[in-house]
Amino acid sequence: MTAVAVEVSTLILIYAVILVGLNLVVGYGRIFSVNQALLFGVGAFAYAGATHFLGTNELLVSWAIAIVAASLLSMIVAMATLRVSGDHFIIASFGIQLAVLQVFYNWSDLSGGAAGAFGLPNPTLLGVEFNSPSLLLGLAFLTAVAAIFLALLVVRSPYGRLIKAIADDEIAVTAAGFEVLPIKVGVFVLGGSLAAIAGVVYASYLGVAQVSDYSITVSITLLAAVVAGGLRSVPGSILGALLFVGLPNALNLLHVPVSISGPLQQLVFGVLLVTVMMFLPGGMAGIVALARGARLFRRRSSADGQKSLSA
Amino acid sequence: VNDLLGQAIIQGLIFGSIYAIAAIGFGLVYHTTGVFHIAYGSILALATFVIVTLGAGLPPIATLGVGVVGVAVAVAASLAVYGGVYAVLERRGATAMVVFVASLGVSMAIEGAIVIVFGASVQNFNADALLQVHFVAGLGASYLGIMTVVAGAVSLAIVLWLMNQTRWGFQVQAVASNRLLAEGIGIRPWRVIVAVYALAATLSVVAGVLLGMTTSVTAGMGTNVSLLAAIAVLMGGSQSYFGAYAGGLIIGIVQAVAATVLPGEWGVTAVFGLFLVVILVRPSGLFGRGYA
Repeated sequence: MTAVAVEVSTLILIYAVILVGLNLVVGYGRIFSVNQALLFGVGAFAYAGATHFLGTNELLVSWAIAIVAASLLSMIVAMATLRVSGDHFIIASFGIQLAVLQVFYNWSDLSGGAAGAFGLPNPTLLGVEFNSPSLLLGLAFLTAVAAIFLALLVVRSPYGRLIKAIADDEIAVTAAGFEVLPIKVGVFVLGGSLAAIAGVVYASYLGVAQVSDYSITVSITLLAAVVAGGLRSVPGSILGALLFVGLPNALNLLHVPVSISGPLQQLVFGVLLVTVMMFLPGGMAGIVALARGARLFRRRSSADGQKSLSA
Repeated sequence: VNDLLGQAIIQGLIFGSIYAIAAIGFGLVYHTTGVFHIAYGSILALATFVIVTLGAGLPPIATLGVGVVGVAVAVAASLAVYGGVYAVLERRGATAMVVFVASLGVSMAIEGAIVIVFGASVQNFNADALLQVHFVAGLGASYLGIMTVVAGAVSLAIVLWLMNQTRWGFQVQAVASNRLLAEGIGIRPWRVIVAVYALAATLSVVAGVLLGMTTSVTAGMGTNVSLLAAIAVLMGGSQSYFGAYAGGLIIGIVQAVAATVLPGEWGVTAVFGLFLVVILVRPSGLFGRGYA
């Protein structure tokens, strides 16, 4: 593989982890959170902090810090606001992104302020160092496989069915005797932790952690990617990652100047988010399922994704 | 130190009035239709860019005409978003969350379009004369600052008058509390809603121009304003325009005081912390009517 192919594949795998996590929250849980990029950043700064303050590049340490921090943040937002209303939750998820990024920004020992934390070492896992692009690709691959496996496990478990049931009819689930709030908080924590795990890998891969990489615009773009890929579809999230990483690279290949390429991506993802929400609730995975359903006389594959809007 | 604090409060009142105007507009749409119109901010930025670009080098009188063009752009864009996106989604029974996500998409697309059309550079109104600071008893304010605070109070007064003293206002309240019932007694909800979007868009242009004159005009200015406006509306409470106004002022003052008292930049963090506290202590908001 060429260097570019290795780089693009690594990024797609990392973003697949984030989007699979986001899909648990937004797709299965129908909780529209707009701070996935923050939790991604929490992972990145957990790695920067672990290498800087603890002097360790062991991934397990950074992952532990990242998961604890991301879970705490998710719990604060979700428990304070989900009991009030969805609108309060949205604004809180927006707000915590800006607020915590500001904390990172001000804490320049950790983040390097505006310049960013540079020169992060290669990561090690149980003493094995990932010191080449192809080894790092392998790390991203293993992380993605584990995340996808975990997500599929959760989705098919009784807990996963409860998450979907709450999204479809919260009152019915309450009437059945379940405490709804902890289940919702749980899925939010789980999705956030996956983003944080991906953030650790991302920062260790790049060797840099910069506040500006985890802005609100990135959060909205991630949301667009997960919606375009297909809500309530794990393969859809992988398609979403393909799109998220692929579009900037495609614009690059087409020699679109940098000054246009950034806003153009924003425009495309924005339009994509609106049109998919309006006309294609199943996203790209929905199209694939439809095509397959048509060929195989509609065996049961298309049903899940197509229900998205009616919930 | 007291002078510094006093100056911070004045500064906070000025910025707070801008947020308050934006919040009243955001609240109009939110209270009446339940739509979390987050694209509101990007439309504000779009109109402000149109005004600053067309108005460059024109004499002051001509800028009024440019302002009218800006309002027209904002109203047209808002109605296009309402008719083309929100209304379509609502007709299909989409949840408020789905409409919100679509609104986020619109917001992002408009912001991208602004940069492509107007360029990425920061633009400025030529408002130096208005920005000159005059001191009274050790505290300073510019004419623009005073105008801003007055504009905030006037915006609130107009909206409160419309809502509580006019036939139209009662119709808006009727649509807000029960759209079907309002239709049943002969109100045409879509007419009321279109007017609400238009009024909100007009207020957003006022807020955008004042903010652009006080600081500068950037494509991202709207996202920040609509977030703060949304926080002000939720903190202010359900169906309360005074609440939205007060929420805006509080946010402005908290930001400015945090910037003065604390080292580093903590404005957003302070505002968000305040929001969380208000939500925990009084989920229905500071001035809400108790039902949500």
